[in-house]
Amino acid sequence: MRKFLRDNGLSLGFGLLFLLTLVGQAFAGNADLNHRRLADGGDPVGLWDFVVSSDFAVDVAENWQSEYLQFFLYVLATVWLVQRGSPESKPAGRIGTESDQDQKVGAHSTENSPRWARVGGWRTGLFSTSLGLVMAGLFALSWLAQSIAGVSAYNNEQLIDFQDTVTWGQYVLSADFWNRSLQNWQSEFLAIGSMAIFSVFLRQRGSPESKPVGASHTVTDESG
Amino acid sequence: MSTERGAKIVFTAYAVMVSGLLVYFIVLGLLGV
Repeated sequence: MRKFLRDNGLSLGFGLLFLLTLVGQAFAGNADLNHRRLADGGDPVGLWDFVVSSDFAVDVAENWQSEYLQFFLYVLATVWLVQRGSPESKPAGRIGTESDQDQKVGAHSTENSPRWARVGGWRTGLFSTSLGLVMAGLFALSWLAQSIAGVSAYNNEQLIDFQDTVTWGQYVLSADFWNRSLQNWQSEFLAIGSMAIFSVFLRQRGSPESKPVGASHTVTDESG
Repeated sequence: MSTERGAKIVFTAYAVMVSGLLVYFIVLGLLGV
């Protein structure tokens, strides 16, 4: 068990942080909604009613979609774009999907390579893009969830205010939907760009996200 | 427990948690609650 916890500390640690902050978001989101409801002369809702509501779902999903978009674009962009001097980037000479020899696929695979990397054909092709595909798929599903929960939450507010409701098609063209989406996207893109360029000149000793402290500013693809 | 088997357990837990919550959010929206 000790070995299991140590070997998977990063994913288990962040998984635990996710669950704790999700619970925190439920309490804070419920309090925020009730504050607005009371200010508008409405009735407050209980914590459980909030957790099983579209208001909670849309708030969570809008952040999920932007995170998965961030990693999907990052995984894809780093195939073709480089940042010289950044540990987040590969060297400029390796731009593109690289050779089978570099990627250890097909005839160049080793005995420890995953089976789908060894067999060639469509299975190797699919496995070669599986990380990007899953990130893209989770982005699409999260964005869909945001839109479906969003139209429900939006219409609930419209009804409280005695306003007309909208269809899903109208909602995905609305300012509310795009404000929720773009306010998350801009922060993700800024964070990626910042990390790419800051890591050229700044260091975090011991982190694989950083170059070794003594590495030259111009060295690319060297983790500390 | 092998390193790969341990990672597969965490991988599966993440996959189930993320997909389960996504379905949950979509269902909440479809129910209009």
